[in-house]
Amino acid sequence: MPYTISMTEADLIQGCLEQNRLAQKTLYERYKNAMYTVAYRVTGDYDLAEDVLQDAFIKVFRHLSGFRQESTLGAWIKTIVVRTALSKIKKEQYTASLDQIPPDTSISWSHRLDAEYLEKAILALPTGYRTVFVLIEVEGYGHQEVADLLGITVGTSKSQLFYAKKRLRETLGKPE
Amino acid sequence: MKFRIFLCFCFWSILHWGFAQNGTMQVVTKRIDKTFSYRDGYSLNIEGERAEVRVETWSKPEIKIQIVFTAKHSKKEQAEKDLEKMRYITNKEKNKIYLRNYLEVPEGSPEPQSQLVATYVITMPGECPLYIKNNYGLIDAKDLMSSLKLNTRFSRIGLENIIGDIDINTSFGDLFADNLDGNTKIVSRRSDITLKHMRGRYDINAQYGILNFFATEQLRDFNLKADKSNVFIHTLQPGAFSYNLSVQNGRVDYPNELKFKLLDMKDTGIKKITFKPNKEYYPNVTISITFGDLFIGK
Amino acid sequence: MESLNEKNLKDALRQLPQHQAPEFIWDHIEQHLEREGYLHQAIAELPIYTAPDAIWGRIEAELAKGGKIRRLATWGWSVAAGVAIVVTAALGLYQWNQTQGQVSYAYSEEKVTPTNSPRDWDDAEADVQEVQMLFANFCKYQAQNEEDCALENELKELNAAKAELKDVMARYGEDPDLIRELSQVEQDRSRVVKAMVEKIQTS
Repeated sequence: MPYTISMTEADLIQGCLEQNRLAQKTLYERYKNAMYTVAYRVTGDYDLAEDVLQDAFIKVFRHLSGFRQESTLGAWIKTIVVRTALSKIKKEQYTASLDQIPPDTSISWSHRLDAEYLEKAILALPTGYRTVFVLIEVEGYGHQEVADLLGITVGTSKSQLFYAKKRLRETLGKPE
Repeated sequence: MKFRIFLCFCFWSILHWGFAQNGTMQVVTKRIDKTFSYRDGYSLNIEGERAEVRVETWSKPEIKIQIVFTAKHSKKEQAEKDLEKMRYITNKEKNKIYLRNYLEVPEGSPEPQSQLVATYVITMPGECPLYIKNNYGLIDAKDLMSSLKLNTRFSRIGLENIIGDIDINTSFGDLFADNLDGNTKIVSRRSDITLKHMRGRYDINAQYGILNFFATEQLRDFNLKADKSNVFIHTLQPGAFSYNLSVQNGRVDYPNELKFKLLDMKDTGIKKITFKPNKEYYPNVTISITFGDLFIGK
Repeated sequence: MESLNEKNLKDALRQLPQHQAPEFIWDHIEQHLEREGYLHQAIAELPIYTAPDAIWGRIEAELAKGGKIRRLATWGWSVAAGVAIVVTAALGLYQWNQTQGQVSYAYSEEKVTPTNSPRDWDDAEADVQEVQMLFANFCKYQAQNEEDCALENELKELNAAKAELKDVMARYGEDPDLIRELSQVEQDRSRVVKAMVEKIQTS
């Protein structure tokens, strides 16, 4: 049976487990752009993102038998990409603790934001802030998951997110 | 009574004479049958002129070729003479099989007076790559699963169940395809396009056409650049795709359930829409239209 | 007894009070939406990047390192070469036999229903040329921009298409399919010529 881009995930996984190169490529094609984007946002560097994508997919194909289908395949691959990306970037000091966060933790965004400027502002954040912001706000992870991924406490994750948003708010300016 | 019989006879004679003069064509056909054995890495290349090319597949490792040349004229002798002006080549060079038909009129000879047409009926393995160039005819192909490249002018194209790399360049012809799956690239000019049950990736550049696209859940990416064309996107799940739409000097119509944010730049006549579903993986629909309307619906 | 217990349990469950959600919860949700709605809107519009094509090649090379390649023993090569020569020769002979092909002829008659449609596709050529000339002048002296003159190229393209089709009809005969193609081109030409006249009149 030929492997095609529209094949079901189950068929593709089976093909990859049988080391079928076409199935592997089809799976890669399906997720490459979404995963490259995640890798780029976490690392903030195109070259690093390429390395991350390469290493992560090699891990995906080598460890696919360990995929237990407890999440979607996309979510499983994304976690591998994120872990690989995190291992590539310099370990940041996640020093802020929960008690440093003011009681009102949300930042007000009272005007329309341009996605292009937002992207630039995200990439300009310090690595620690950027990682937490991207994982939580863009990729939809919870604080507990981020805490596990980064080896920090939930409180630190919350404070990093607060300061990331504060920095973004300052960078993007106030409404005219 | 005799007079009535005479009248009937006259009427029948006139009718019979009319048919003999205008109503009957003498049809002369020349049929060439040839079979090539097929191995992995072989490809079939057809260059047709005024040809109808029909391609089907089978599981035998053989490429069976039948070329029929037809000449129609009221006089059989003329049809026979003209038929011999239709020439053909069937060659195999290394792993490439070439088929070609053309018209050869020796210098000083009169142009053919018959209606001439060539018909190719090809039966081949589905995995054999196929390239067809054809003008003033038609192409009908189904069940291929490797690579298909078409280059046509003034020809209708009908495709069904094609998987793999598909590359189509057509002008002044219509394309109708059902069940394409793979990486499909289409460049068309003055051609109407209808693609049904779309799967895989598409990259389309079209001018002057009515473009109808019927997407399935397995549509992956869809890039369309259209000029002076009306575009209709039909899908049962319009909310499953990410959209990046730009329409200049045209109308955009979409179902209310899509909570699109429409950016209408009245000074430039450009309407822009971006929309992303809340998922990790979603197909991207990118459309740019100038001087044409866009309709998205079920 | 067991069923009575179950009934009692179900009755009790039905009688459990329904608690009202405190009003302030919606206020909090609304406050959050008001504060962060624009941010989430912009996040949803963030771009997707295209992974460079070269990455797959590197992945494939890495995967290939882990694969096993079966190799033939040295003596196997001699046997394989011998078999290959015999098979190639046999295939060549088979191929040569097969590709001779057969040619056959057949004769038949076909009834044709005459139509009343005249071969009048050149009747309006003088009018088309006149409009084309007027439009050329319009482009030279009156047109405001290049876009105004786009019709000129469109007509040239359609004129060339018509000439090409007439040439094909001269060589391959005027069969109904070609006449239909030609009529389609003529319809497009008429549309363009009318648009040219309108442009000249309204400028």
